[in-house]
Amino acid sequence: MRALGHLKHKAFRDLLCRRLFAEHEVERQSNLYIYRNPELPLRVRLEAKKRIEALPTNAHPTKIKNRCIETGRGRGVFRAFGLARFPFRLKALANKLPGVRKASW
Amino acid sequence: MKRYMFGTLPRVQPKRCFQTAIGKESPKGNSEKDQLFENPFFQQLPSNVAAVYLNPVKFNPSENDVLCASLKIKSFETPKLDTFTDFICRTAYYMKIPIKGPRPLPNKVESWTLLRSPFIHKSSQENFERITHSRLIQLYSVNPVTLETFFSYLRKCNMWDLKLQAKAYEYESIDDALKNFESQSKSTDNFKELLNGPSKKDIITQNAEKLLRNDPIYKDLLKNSSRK
Repeated sequence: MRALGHLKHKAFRDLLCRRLFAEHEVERQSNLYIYRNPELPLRVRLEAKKRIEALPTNAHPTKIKNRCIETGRGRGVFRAFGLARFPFRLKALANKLPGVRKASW
Repeated sequence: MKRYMFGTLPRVQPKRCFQTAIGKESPKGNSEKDQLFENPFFQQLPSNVAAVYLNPVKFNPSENDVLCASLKIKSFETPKLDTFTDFICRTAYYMKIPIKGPRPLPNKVESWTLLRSPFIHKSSQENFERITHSRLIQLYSVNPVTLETFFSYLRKCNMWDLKLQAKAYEYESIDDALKNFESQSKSTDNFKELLNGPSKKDIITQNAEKLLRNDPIYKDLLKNSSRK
Protein backbone atom coordinates (compact mmCIF):
# COMPACT_ATOMS: atom_id res chain seq x y z
CA MET A 1 0.00 0.00 0.00
CA ARG A 2 1.16 3.51 -0.76
CA ALA A 3 2.19 6.06 1.85
CA LEU A 4 -0.42 8.32 3.38
CA GLY A 5 0.54 11.21 1.12
CA HIS A 6 -2.21 10.33 -1.31
CA LEU A 7 -4.96 11.01 1.20
CA LYS A 8 -6.92 14.22 1.36
CA HIS A 9 -6.44 16.68 4.20
CA LYS A 10 -9.90 15.77 5.46
CA ALA A 11 -8.79 12.18 5.83
CA PHE A 12 -5.91 13.38 8.00
CA ARG A 13 -8.37 15.41 10.04
CA ASP A 14 -10.47 12.29 10.48
CA LEU A 15 -7.42 10.37 11.68
CA LEU A 16 -6.70 13.16 14.16
CA CYS A 17 -10.29 13.07 15.41
CA ARG A 18 -10.16 9.32 15.92
CA ARG A 19 -6.93 9.57 17.85
CA LEU A 20 -8.17 12.40 20.07
CA PHE A 21 -11.43 10.59 20.69
CA ALA A 22 -9.55 7.46 21.76
CA GLU A 23 -7.37 9.48 24.12
CA HIS A 24 -10.22 11.34 25.80
CA GLU A 25 -12.91 8.67 25.64
CA VAL A 26 -12.80 7.49 29.25
CA GLU A 27 -12.61 11.03 30.64
CA ARG A 28 -15.46 12.20 28.44
CA GLN A 29 -17.71 9.25 29.20
CA SER A 30 -17.03 9.52 32.93
CA ASN A 31 -18.01 13.18 33.03
CA LEU A 32 -21.02 12.39 30.91
CA TYR A 33 -22.01 9.74 33.43
CA ILE A 34 -21.69 12.26 36.26
CA TYR A 35 -23.63 14.88 34.32
CA ARG A 36 -26.52 12.51 33.60
CA ASN A 37 -26.76 11.22 37.16
CA PRO A 38 -29.85 12.79 38.77
CA GLU A 39 -28.84 11.75 42.28
CA LEU A 40 -25.90 14.12 42.36
CA PRO A 41 -26.32 17.79 43.27
CA LEU A 42 -26.78 20.26 40.45
CA ARG A 43 -23.45 22.05 40.89
CA VAL A 44 -21.53 18.82 40.50
CA ARG A 45 -23.43 18.01 37.33
CA LEU A 46 -22.82 21.47 35.90
CA GLU A 47 -19.12 21.11 36.63
CA ALA A 48 -19.13 17.85 34.70
CA LYS A 49 -20.84 19.53 31.78
CA LYS A 50 -18.28 22.32 31.85
CA ARG A 51 -15.49 19.76 31.65
CA ILE A 52 -17.09 18.02 28.70
CA GLU A 53 -17.34 21.31 26.84
CA ALA A 54 -13.72 22.10 27.68
CA LEU A 55 -12.47 19.07 25.79
CA PRO A 56 -10.98 19.70 22.33
CA THR A 57 -13.59 19.95 19.61
CA ASN A 58 -12.07 17.15 17.54
CA ALA A 59 -12.41 14.72 20.46
CA HIS A 60 -16.16 14.42 19.95
CA PRO A 61 -17.45 11.25 18.28
CA THR A 62 -19.61 13.28 15.92
CA LYS A 63 -16.46 14.48 14.16
CA ILE A 64 -15.55 10.96 13.10
CA LYS A 65 -16.42 10.11 9.51
CA ASN A 66 -15.88 6.89 7.62
CA ARG A 67 -13.66 7.70 4.67
CA CYS A 68 -12.19 5.67 1.86
CA ILE A 69 -8.86 4.14 2.85
CA GLU A 70 -7.61 4.44 -0.73
CA THR A 71 -8.71 7.87 -1.90
CA GLY A 72 -10.01 9.63 1.20
CA ARG A 73 -13.42 10.23 -0.34
CA GLY A 74 -16.09 10.83 2.27
CA ARG A 75 -19.22 9.78 0.43
CA GLY A 76 -20.33 6.52 -1.06
CA VAL A 77 -18.06 4.50 1.23
CA PHE A 78 -18.86 0.82 1.79
CA ARG A 79 -18.39 0.03 5.45
CA ALA A 80 -17.58 -3.62 4.87
CA PHE A 81 -14.52 -2.81 2.76
CA GLY A 82 -13.60 0.74 3.76
CA LEU A 83 -13.60 1.76 0.10
CA ALA A 84 -15.49 4.35 -1.89
CA ARG A 85 -17.56 3.11 -4.78
CA PHE A 86 -15.06 3.71 -7.58
CA PRO A 87 -12.03 2.02 -5.92
CA PHE A 88 -14.42 -0.75 -4.88
CA ARG A 89 -15.43 -1.25 -8.50
CA LEU A 90 -11.84 -1.27 -9.73
CA LYS A 91 -10.79 -3.84 -7.13
CA ALA A 92 -13.86 -5.96 -7.68
CA LEU A 93 -13.26 -6.12 -11.43
CA ALA A 94 -9.61 -6.97 -10.78
CA ASN A 95 -10.81 -9.85 -8.56
CA LYS A 96 -9.02 -8.53 -5.49
CA LEU A 97 -11.95 -8.53 -3.08
CA PRO A 98 -12.69 -11.96 -1.59
CA GLY A 99 -15.90 -13.47 -2.85
CA VAL A 100 -17.09 -10.42 -4.78
CA ARG A 101 -18.18 -10.94 -8.37
CA LYS A 102 -20.52 -9.39 -10.90
CA ALA A 103 -24.13 -10.25 -10.25
CA SER A 104 -26.74 -11.37 -12.74
CA TRP A 105 -30.05 -12.96 -11.93
CA MET B 1 -3.20 -52.15 -20.77
CA LYS B 2 -4.19 -48.53 -20.46
CA ARG B 3 -2.47 -46.26 -18.00
CA TYR B 4 -4.75 -44.10 -15.90
CA MET B 5 -3.60 -40.71 -14.74
CA PHE B 6 -4.37 -39.77 -11.17
CA GLY B 7 -7.65 -37.97 -10.90
CA THR B 8 -9.19 -39.21 -14.12
CA LEU B 9 -11.32 -41.78 -12.38
CA PRO B 10 -14.91 -40.62 -11.96
CA ARG B 11 -16.36 -40.24 -8.51
CA VAL B 12 -19.23 -42.47 -7.59
CA GLN B 13 -21.59 -39.58 -6.95
CA PRO B 14 -21.43 -35.81 -7.41
CA LYS B 15 -19.39 -34.00 -4.83
CA ARG B 16 -22.31 -32.05 -3.47
CA CYS B 17 -24.32 -35.14 -2.67
CA PHE B 18 -23.16 -36.43 0.70
CA GLN B 19 -24.44 -39.91 1.36
CA THR B 20 -22.96 -42.96 2.98
CA ALA B 21 -21.05 -45.26 0.70
CA ILE B 22 -22.91 -48.17 2.26
CA GLY B 23 -26.31 -47.09 1.11
CA LYS B 24 -29.15 -48.04 -1.11
CA GLU B 25 -28.26 -49.54 -4.44
CA SER B 26 -29.51 -47.85 -7.55
CA PRO B 27 -32.27 -49.60 -9.49
CA LYS B 28 -29.93 -50.05 -12.44
CA GLY B 29 -28.21 -53.37 -12.78
CA ASN B 30 -24.70 -51.98 -13.07
CA SER B 31 -24.34 -48.97 -10.78
CA GLU B 32 -21.60 -46.37 -10.87
CA LYS B 33 -20.06 -47.91 -7.80
CA ASP B 34 -19.80 -51.28 -9.50
CA GLN B 35 -18.21 -49.67 -12.53
CA LEU B 36 -15.66 -48.01 -10.31
CA PHE B 37 -14.90 -51.22 -8.49
CA GLU B 38 -14.41 -53.09 -11.76
CA ASN B 39 -11.86 -50.57 -12.95
CA PRO B 40 -8.43 -52.30 -12.96
CA PHE B 41 -6.56 -49.19 -11.82
CA PHE B 42 -8.94 -48.74 -8.94
CA GLN B 43 -8.38 -52.32 -7.84
CA GLN B 44 -4.65 -51.71 -7.54
CA LEU B 45 -4.99 -48.69 -5.27
CA PRO B 46 -4.34 -49.06 -1.55
CA SER B 47 -7.51 -48.86 0.47
CA ASN B 48 -6.93 -45.41 1.96
CA VAL B 49 -6.26 -43.91 -1.48
CA ALA B 50 -9.27 -45.67 -2.93
CA ALA B 51 -11.41 -44.23 -0.14
CA VAL B 52 -10.81 -40.74 -1.53
CA TYR B 53 -12.93 -41.61 -4.57
CA LEU B 54 -15.82 -42.77 -2.40
CA ASN B 55 -18.05 -40.70 -0.21
CA PRO B 56 -17.00 -40.50 3.44
CA VAL B 57 -18.30 -43.22 5.71
CA LYS B 58 -19.71 -42.00 8.98
CA PHE B 59 -21.27 -43.23 12.19
CA ASN B 60 -24.91 -42.29 12.37
CA PRO B 61 -26.07 -41.25 15.84
CA SER B 62 -28.69 -43.39 17.52
CA GLU B 63 -31.70 -42.12 19.42
CA ASN B 64 -29.83 -42.26 22.73
CA ASP B 65 -26.96 -40.08 21.54
CA VAL B 66 -26.81 -36.52 22.86
CA LEU B 67 -25.82 -33.48 20.81
CA CYS B 68 -22.40 -32.39 22.07
CA ALA B 69 -21.20 -29.87 19.50
CA SER B 70 -22.21 -28.22 16.27
CA LEU B 71 -19.73 -27.07 13.68
CA LYS B 72 -20.48 -24.41 11.07
CA ILE B 73 -18.19 -23.91 8.08
CA LYS B 74 -18.52 -20.82 5.90
CA SER B 75 -16.84 -19.90 2.64
CA PHE B 76 -17.31 -17.93 -0.54
CA GLU B 77 -16.22 -20.85 -2.75
CA THR B 78 -18.19 -24.06 -2.91
CA PRO B 79 -15.49 -26.53 -4.08
CA LYS B 80 -13.15 -25.59 -1.25
CA LEU B 81 -16.00 -25.77 1.23
CA ASP B 82 -17.02 -29.23 0.06
CA THR B 83 -13.44 -30.48 0.13
CA PHE B 84 -12.91 -29.39 3.71
CA THR B 85 -16.31 -30.67 4.77
CA ASP B 86 -15.41 -34.02 3.28
CA PHE B 87 -12.19 -33.94 5.27
CA ILE B 88 -14.07 -33.17 8.48
CA CYS B 89 -16.41 -36.12 7.94
CA ARG B 90 -13.50 -38.49 7.40
CA THR B 91 -11.70 -37.17 10.46
CA ALA B 92 -14.81 -37.68 12.55
CA TYR B 93 -15.12 -41.23 11.26
CA TYR B 94 -11.53 -42.10 12.16
CA MET B 95 -12.05 -40.62 15.62
CA LYS B 96 -15.30 -42.63 15.92
CA ILE B 97 -17.49 -39.58 16.43
CA PRO B 98 -21.14 -39.91 15.34
CA ILE B 99 -22.14 -37.01 13.14
CA LYS B 100 -25.13 -35.65 11.30
CA GLY B 101 -24.67 -33.68 8.14
CA PRO B 102 -23.01 -31.96 6.39
CA ARG B 103 -26.20 -30.02 6.01
CA PRO B 104 -26.21 -26.98 3.71
CA LEU B 105 -27.53 -23.84 5.35
CA PRO B 106 -29.20 -21.04 3.38
CA ASN B 107 -26.81 -18.82 1.45
CA LYS B 108 -26.19 -15.26 2.50
CA VAL B 109 -26.15 -12.89 -0.46
CA GLU B 110 -24.75 -9.36 -0.22
CA SER B 111 -25.26 -7.20 -3.28
CA TRP B 112 -24.04 -3.75 -4.22
CA THR B 113 -25.22 -1.53 -7.04
CA LEU B 114 -22.87 1.29 -7.97
CA LEU B 115 -22.13 3.70 -10.77
CA ARG B 116 -19.62 2.72 -13.40
CA SER B 117 -18.27 6.22 -13.76
CA PRO B 118 -16.40 8.24 -11.12
CA PHE B 119 -18.27 11.41 -12.12
CA ILE B 120 -21.96 11.83 -13.06
CA HIS B 121 -23.40 9.33 -15.63
CA LYS B 122 -26.02 8.10 -13.18
CA SER B 123 -27.82 5.95 -15.74
CA SER B 124 -24.89 3.57 -16.20
CA GLN B 125 -24.67 1.24 -13.20
CA GLU B 126 -23.25 -2.15 -12.30
CA ASN B 127 -24.23 -4.92 -9.88
CA PHE B 128 -21.86 -6.89 -7.67
CA GLU B 129 -22.62 -9.61 -5.18
CA ARG B 130 -20.97 -11.87 -2.65
CA ILE B 131 -22.50 -15.21 -1.73
CA THR B 132 -21.52 -16.91 1.52
CA HIS B 133 -22.12 -20.66 1.57
CA SER B 134 -22.22 -22.57 4.84
CA ARG B 135 -22.48 -26.13 6.05
CA LEU B 136 -23.57 -27.51 9.41
CA ILE B 137 -22.15 -30.63 11.03
CA GLN B 138 -23.45 -31.87 14.37
CA LEU B 139 -21.40 -34.11 16.66
CA TYR B 140 -23.09 -36.52 19.04
CA SER B 141 -21.97 -38.25 22.22
CA VAL B 142 -18.31 -37.27 22.24
CA ASN B 143 -15.88 -37.45 25.11
CA PRO B 144 -14.78 -33.87 25.98
CA VAL B 145 -11.12 -34.83 25.55
CA THR B 146 -11.81 -36.32 22.13
CA LEU B 147 -13.82 -33.25 21.20
CA GLU B 148 -10.97 -30.95 22.19
CA THR B 149 -8.52 -33.07 20.20
CA PHE B 150 -10.85 -33.00 17.22
CA PHE B 151 -11.16 -29.22 17.29
CA SER B 152 -7.41 -28.79 17.73
CA TYR B 153 -6.76 -30.99 14.71
CA LEU B 154 -9.26 -29.06 12.59
CA ARG B 155 -7.71 -25.79 13.69
CA LYS B 156 -4.32 -27.10 12.68
CA CYS B 157 -5.45 -28.36 9.26
CA ASN B 158 -7.69 -25.41 8.45
CA MET B 159 -7.71 -24.04 4.92
CA TRP B 160 -7.61 -20.40 3.97
CA ASP B 161 -10.80 -18.61 2.93
CA LEU B 162 -12.77 -20.77 5.35
CA LYS B 163 -14.44 -19.82 8.58
CA LEU B 164 -15.08 -22.39 11.30
CA GLN B 165 -17.61 -21.75 14.05
CA ALA B 166 -17.94 -24.33 16.79
CA LYS B 167 -20.43 -24.61 19.63
CA ALA B 168 -19.96 -27.09 22.47
CA TYR B 169 -22.87 -28.00 24.73
CA GLU B 170 -22.69 -29.05 28.38
CA TYR B 171 -25.46 -30.80 30.28
CA GLU B 172 -26.19 -31.23 33.98
CA SER B 173 -29.09 -32.38 36.08
CA ILE B 174 -31.66 -29.96 37.47
CA ASP B 175 -30.95 -30.99 41.07
CA ASP B 176 -27.29 -30.05 40.77
CA ALA B 177 -28.23 -26.79 39.09
CA LEU B 178 -30.61 -25.88 41.92
CA LYS B 179 -28.11 -26.78 44.61
CA ASN B 180 -25.23 -24.78 43.15
CA PHE B 181 -27.26 -21.89 41.77
CA GLU B 182 -25.49 -19.04 43.56
CA SER B 183 -21.96 -20.34 43.17
CA GLN B 184 -22.59 -21.10 39.51
CA SER B 185 -23.87 -17.62 38.80
CA LYS B 186 -20.71 -16.24 40.38
CA SER B 187 -18.55 -18.65 38.43
CA THR B 188 -20.33 -17.63 35.23
CA ASP B 189 -19.62 -13.97 35.93
CA ASN B 190 -16.00 -14.81 36.68
CA PHE B 191 -15.79 -16.71 33.44
CA LYS B 192 -17.15 -13.76 31.49
CA GLU B 193 -14.67 -11.47 33.23
CA LEU B 194 -11.79 -13.77 32.39
CA LEU B 195 -12.93 -14.15 28.82
CA ASN B 196 -13.73 -10.58 27.87
CA GLY B 197 -12.22 -8.41 30.58
CA PRO B 198 -14.16 -5.65 32.32
CA SER B 199 -16.93 -4.11 30.28
CA LYS B 200 -16.86 -0.57 28.98
CA LYS B 201 -19.64 0.46 31.33
CA ASP B 202 -17.72 -0.83 34.36
CA ILE B 203 -14.61 1.09 33.34
CA ILE B 204 -16.57 4.33 32.98
CA THR B 205 -18.44 3.85 36.24
CA GLN B 206 -15.27 3.16 38.19
CA ASN B 207 -13.52 6.15 36.65
CA ALA B 208 -16.46 8.41 37.47
CA GLU B 209 -16.45 7.27 41.09
CA LYS B 210 -12.71 7.82 41.23
CA LEU B 211 -13.16 11.36 39.91
CA LEU B 212 -15.84 12.15 42.47
CA ARG B 213 -13.63 10.87 45.30
CA ASN B 214 -10.23 12.21 44.34
CA ASP B 215 -10.80 15.34 42.30
CA PRO B 216 -10.50 18.45 44.55
CA ILE B 217 -13.12 20.51 42.70
CA TYR B 218 -15.72 17.77 42.86
CA LYS B 219 -14.84 17.24 46.53
CA ASP B 220 -15.47 20.90 47.38
CA LEU B 221 -18.70 20.98 45.44
CA LEU B 222 -19.97 17.87 47.19
CA LYS B 223 -19.04 19.27 50.60
CA ASN B 224 -20.72 22.60 49.94
CA SER B 225 -23.87 20.99 48.66
CA SER B 226 -23.99 18.64 51.63
CA ARG B 227 -23.61 21.55 54.03
CA LYS B 228 -26.50 23.40 52.45
